[in-house]
Amino acid sequence: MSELEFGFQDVLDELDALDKIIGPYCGPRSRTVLPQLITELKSIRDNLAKRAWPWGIRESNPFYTAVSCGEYQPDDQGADNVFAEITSTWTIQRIPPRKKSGKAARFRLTGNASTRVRIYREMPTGRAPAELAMWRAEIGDAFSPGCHFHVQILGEGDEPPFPRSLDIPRLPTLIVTPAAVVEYVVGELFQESWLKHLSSQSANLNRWWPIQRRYLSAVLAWQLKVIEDASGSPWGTLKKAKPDSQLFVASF
Amino acid sequence: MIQPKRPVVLTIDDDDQNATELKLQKAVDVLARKPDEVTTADLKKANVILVDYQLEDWPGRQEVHSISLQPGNGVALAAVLRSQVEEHIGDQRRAFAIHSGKLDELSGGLPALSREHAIARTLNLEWVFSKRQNQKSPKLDVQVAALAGAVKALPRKWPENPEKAQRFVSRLLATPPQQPWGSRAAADVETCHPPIHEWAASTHGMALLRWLLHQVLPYPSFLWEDRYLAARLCVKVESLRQALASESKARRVLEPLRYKGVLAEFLGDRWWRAGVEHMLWEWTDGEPFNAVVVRDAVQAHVSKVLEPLKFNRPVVCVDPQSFRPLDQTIDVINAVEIKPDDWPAYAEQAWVHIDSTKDEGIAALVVPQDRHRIESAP
Repeated sequence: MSELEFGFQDVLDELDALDKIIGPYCGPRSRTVLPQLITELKSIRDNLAKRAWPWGIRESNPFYTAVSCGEYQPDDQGADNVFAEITSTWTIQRIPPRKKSGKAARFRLTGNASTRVRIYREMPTGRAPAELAMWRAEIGDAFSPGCHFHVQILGEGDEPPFPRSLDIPRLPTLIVTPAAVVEYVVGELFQESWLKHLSSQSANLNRWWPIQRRYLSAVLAWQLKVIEDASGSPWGTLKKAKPDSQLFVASF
Repeated sequence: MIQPKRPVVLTIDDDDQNATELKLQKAVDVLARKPDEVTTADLKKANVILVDYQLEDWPGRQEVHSISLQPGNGVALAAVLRSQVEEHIGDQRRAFAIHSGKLDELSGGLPALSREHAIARTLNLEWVFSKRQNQKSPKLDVQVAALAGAVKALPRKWPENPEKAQRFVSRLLATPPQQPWGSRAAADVETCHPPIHEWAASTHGMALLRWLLHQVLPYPSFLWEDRYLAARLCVKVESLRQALASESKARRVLEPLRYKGVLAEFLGDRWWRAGVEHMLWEWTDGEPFNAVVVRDAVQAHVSKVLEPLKFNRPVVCVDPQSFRPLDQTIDVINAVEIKPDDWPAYAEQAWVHIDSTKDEGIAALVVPQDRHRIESAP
């Protein structure tokens, strides 16, 4: 149970497709972030060392979205100009291929799997942007209290609300990978224009949606089964449930 | 011991050829001919046919009356000779190139210097060589010898079996299977769509050489020139060149990453991207994009004389006129991506400084993702 496995190619394709469809919604200073994430994952795939590696969008070079000028509300009525900063850290280990000469097809999560989103209000030049919100999309491990796929709000400072000492609530989520979190955030910041933009991206969307559909279907199907099989409180059962490690690679 | 036969270059010029012949003789066997003297036997022997662009003193041409029998210049003569090869020899393993002091006349208004690959592609030639030495390119004899050697390395019959063709290409490109990054390098090559199947077979492998000459070596893809290597190592390119020229340690450390396949000497050193990424991963213990860690690691492993770049997200600028890479490296925040006409889809992005887009011609090349930035620029 747990130590979820992912296909290298799935995650690489997901990132590459996102890099191509995201277009103007990626902040100018972040144009190289997704290609770098791809390169790092390939390096982990090809490195023979039997150890876990931290992999993610580093804090030293976060992914910044473009600035949303109130587009987070219908008709662009939002009061603020805001943008998101996204970083992530997944601790992953390559699963060696059966044939020694072959290429590793999968990796497993062996520790942290956290993607942090910060929303900032854009400020006049010379003033630091003001943080408006922060949450983390996380995947639990075998011992985490649940829910397995969850979102936590703040929880990194000592002051309330949501101080570090209070690591609840763990709100259930369907969004699992860093790329999926990026799409989610962009969709929130640009409520209408992102969907319009996607409709013009058919070629790369054809690479994006099959993977996302598979991930979302797998999570939803697993949750549905847990609830259908529950004999006690459905929510309590779902909260304690741990997915099979093959959840996202079952179709391999 | 039997010496392997040297490649043969057929040079065709209406003028005295001593100078060119002397330059080339060090590396190849030269057959120097005037246009009227060329025979099928010459074409058969030659690996490279190097034709002067301006052909004025050509008595045989004056004697015929049909204009169809009067090639106007070296490009036309090369086309005639290529058809002779197809018709009478059947084996297309020959590279046709122009040698000219007036490449600008052939370049469609763009600066010819460093755009030889684009001119050659347009004119259905393997290459065009300038009579004026381009300081940034290797010397003529080195380039011609590399081209002739590459043609000579092609097999008489291109392997029909796809796996055999793949293996042959790996050998030709010297993808290093013994290196831990060898399979990644091979995968990188594959994403650049080398013509190794039916097109390679029908051209006796010349399509592959053209792909390397026109679409790979001039652009950043699975091979990087020193500017891209320096940017990835977060150091100034001048300091990298200096280290490679003067320090045996720098040369030794980077040597396994140097491309050693066919045409390796043609446009100067190229470096395997897969190897660079592998090395950086090892040196930084898994932090290959942390510029601070990279700079420290590179200075420790390669050379202390390497001068670090002062920004963290370096990209190499291309010249907004010729679209060739410059020694200028800037932070991505100050760059916009452009898509010049001949830039391959699989190559890494072409960047220019955002200030260059004040020129309308350059602004028109900016990719849709970056267009809003130039529209909002002051």
